[in-house]
Amino acid sequence: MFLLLPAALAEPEPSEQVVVEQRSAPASAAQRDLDASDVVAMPGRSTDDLLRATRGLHQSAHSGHGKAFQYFLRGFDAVHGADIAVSLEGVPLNEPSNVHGHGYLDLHFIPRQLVTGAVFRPGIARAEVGDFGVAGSGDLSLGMAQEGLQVQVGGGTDRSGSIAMGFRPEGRGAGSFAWLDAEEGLGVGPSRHWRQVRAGVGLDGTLGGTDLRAFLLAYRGDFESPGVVREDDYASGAMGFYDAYPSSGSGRSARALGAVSARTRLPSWRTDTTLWAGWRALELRQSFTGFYEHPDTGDATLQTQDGLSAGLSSKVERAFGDALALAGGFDARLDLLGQQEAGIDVDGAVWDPRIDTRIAERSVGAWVAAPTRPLDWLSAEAGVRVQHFTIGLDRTLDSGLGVGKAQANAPVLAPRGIVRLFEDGPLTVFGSAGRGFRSPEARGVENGRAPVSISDGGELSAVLHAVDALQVRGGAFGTWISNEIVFDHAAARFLTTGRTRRLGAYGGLTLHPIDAVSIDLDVTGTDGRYTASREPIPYAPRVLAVGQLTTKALVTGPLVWTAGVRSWWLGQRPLPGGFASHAAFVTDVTARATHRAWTFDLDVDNVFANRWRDGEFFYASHWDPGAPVSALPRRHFTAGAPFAVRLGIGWRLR
Amino acid sequence: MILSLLACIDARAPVAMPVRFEGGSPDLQLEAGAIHLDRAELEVADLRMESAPVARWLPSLVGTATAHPGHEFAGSVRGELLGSWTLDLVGPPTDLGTAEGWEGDVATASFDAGTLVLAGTWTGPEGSIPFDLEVEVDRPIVGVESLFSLDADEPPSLSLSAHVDHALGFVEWAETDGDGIVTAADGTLRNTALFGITSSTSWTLAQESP
Repeated sequence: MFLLLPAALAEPEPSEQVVVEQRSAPASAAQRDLDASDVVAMPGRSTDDLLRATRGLHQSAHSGHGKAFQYFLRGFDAVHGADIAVSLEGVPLNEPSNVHGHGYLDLHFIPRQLVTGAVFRPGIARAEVGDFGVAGSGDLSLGMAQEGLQVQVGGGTDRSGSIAMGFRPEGRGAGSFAWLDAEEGLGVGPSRHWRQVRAGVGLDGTLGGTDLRAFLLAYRGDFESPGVVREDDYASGAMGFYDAYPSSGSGRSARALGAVSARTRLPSWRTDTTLWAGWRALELRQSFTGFYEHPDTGDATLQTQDGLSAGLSSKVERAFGDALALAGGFDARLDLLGQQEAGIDVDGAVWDPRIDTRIAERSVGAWVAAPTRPLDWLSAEAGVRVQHFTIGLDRTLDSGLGVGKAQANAPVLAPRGIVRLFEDGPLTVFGSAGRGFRSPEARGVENGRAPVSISDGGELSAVLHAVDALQVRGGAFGTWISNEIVFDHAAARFLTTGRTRRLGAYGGLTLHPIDAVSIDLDVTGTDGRYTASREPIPYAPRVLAVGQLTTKALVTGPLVWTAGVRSWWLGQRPLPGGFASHAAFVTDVTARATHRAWTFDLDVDNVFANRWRDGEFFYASHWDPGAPVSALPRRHFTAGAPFAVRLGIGWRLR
Repeated sequence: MILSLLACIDARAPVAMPVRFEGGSPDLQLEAGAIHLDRAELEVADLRMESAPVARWLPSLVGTATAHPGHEFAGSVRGELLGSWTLDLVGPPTDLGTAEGWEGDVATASFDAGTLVLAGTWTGPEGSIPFDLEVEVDRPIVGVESLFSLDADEPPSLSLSAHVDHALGFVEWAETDGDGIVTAADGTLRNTALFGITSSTSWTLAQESP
């Protein structure tokens, strides 16, 4: 209710301000930039939840608090990140050939409090975007928004507690920080226990006109997974909505990521070079079918991965007057992975070792782009990216049966372009087109040339900004894939599903009734189909409507408020085999009140306590070993986030 | 366009349908002679109806299914009747129960088969020979013709039929060991009876006429 109170406006305290680097001009009306206040005002618990700010993106958490979300964007089922390229300060975060899913995008290792901004770009038009940039891309900024020592503690009705400590030296930039946080929770319902510890250090400064930056993040998370509930078991009362079958799953996730970057800014030149390295360990136990495939031992599997990754990226921009610039860059990365998959029994003991693979994956890419503005009302940016993947693997399958080594290459050429009309006027029109691609997944490659998923898309959009208080936007997009290649890690097979096309439209507005308050409404509709059969692409949302009320630096008495109330409605989704999901409506709230050195946080998940189905799936399962085995596909669901209230208090010493 | 996407998806609805078994006549006229069946029984279990396959798989070297939300395909089973029965292949129609399934086209059916018991008399040019045999089938009978649609608004009544004349048409009744009675040990009888009873064309699952 505090949001409705009359309020005076106030500038935020200087120390709350974070310099958000000017990002490149948008390629479409759908691009969204978040500043530090937007991040605070975005409901959700973890950094992963920030991706929901991407227009048209829906994400699903089907395996507890600690596993990567499942992402859906513009008609794509991006699984755990296969079609969305996300980076942190330019460091790519998707994990190629992760044992659980190609492009695995797990942001739990990033302390949410250290995210100072983000940009999310549905569609692909920029030559800079590399692997996994099929449906969209994004980049997160890392730093500590406020100077001084900061301590936060909190707890919630989801039986969770957290503590966080951070320090940013006075007079230093947001990139200089030391951070430590820990949280633990039991969740609402069984098999939802999680525990996470994050630490980070960062250092930034200037040396001889070059901005230097370094950071290191480390994370360890343990979590249980409630898995799925069969709809008929829920209907009969055998299972509660938030129940879990025995041994439904669990996981451990650890990651360290460090980077050093140097940025030079001269009147006509800009350079940006980043060297990064990371270590990763992941262990997932899961069973979504109970005792269906293996009545004696159960169908549970254990997936493990450990790996080292390193990369280098560099880009140069050179301006030639006001009308022309040239930009180019290259990036390279190396991933050395070891991964295993095995069947485990109900006690967690391995009974069926299936895969033991060593993978070396190299990726080298280069791009050029030429932003031009030949006329005041016309700007354009033509670009092209070339990429080459080399994947080597040494496989052992089925209890020691060696399959041997394989080496595959995958070259890609991806032209992209953007046109903007009337950029400085009240109505700006965008046109963009580009090719996105996804590298081959190592586990499926054979010797020779490996399949690369290629998407070609285009978008036409416009932003009307006739008055300061109102921005109206809209657009239409299309994406075509000549032969959709899916690595179905359910069946552990490559699947070609043929030609697909996704046609969609979106519209929205941002209203500022007063400076401290904004109202955002966005609706995205996508019709994704297989071209030949006209069958809908399963799981991909058809309609997603999102509304958010945001306040920034709203003063009521002694308190300064930053808050967000976000509601979304997800229409029915087509499911495989001609089935359909339920629609879902969820509202979340976050609010932060600041009084001098104190902050008070309130988060409410699922305000209306809707029992919504986060994910819905049709397949056969068997959870009662004593009963006959049914092969009839059944509806299963993963329970959406329940109603929960969390409170936090923070104190800052400057 | 968005308005059209807001419309409800026409999704498959659950269907419940009675299933009964239709036996045949105990008197069969085959090319090689006539058969009178005193007893013809087959143990069966778990009737399943499947749609036509839609997936095209690329070769893969990695392992078996470990299901995970995100299945590309729900599976091909469209309807199912779990249970076990001893079918009297020459008896009156028998209700097997109510199958459950999902709307859509059915292409084939399958069920598990157990012990086959046959007793009767074969009459051919060489005269009449009694037979009495018991064969352990112990395998699924697959590919049974089942061309109909399941519709929740008009759920069908299904009839499983055994074409015993076709099933026993493969048997060389004259190949006996001369002890006056044909048993499973005689000649190729066991194999040909097994072949015949598990032949997909010896069975039909059909929608009963209204």
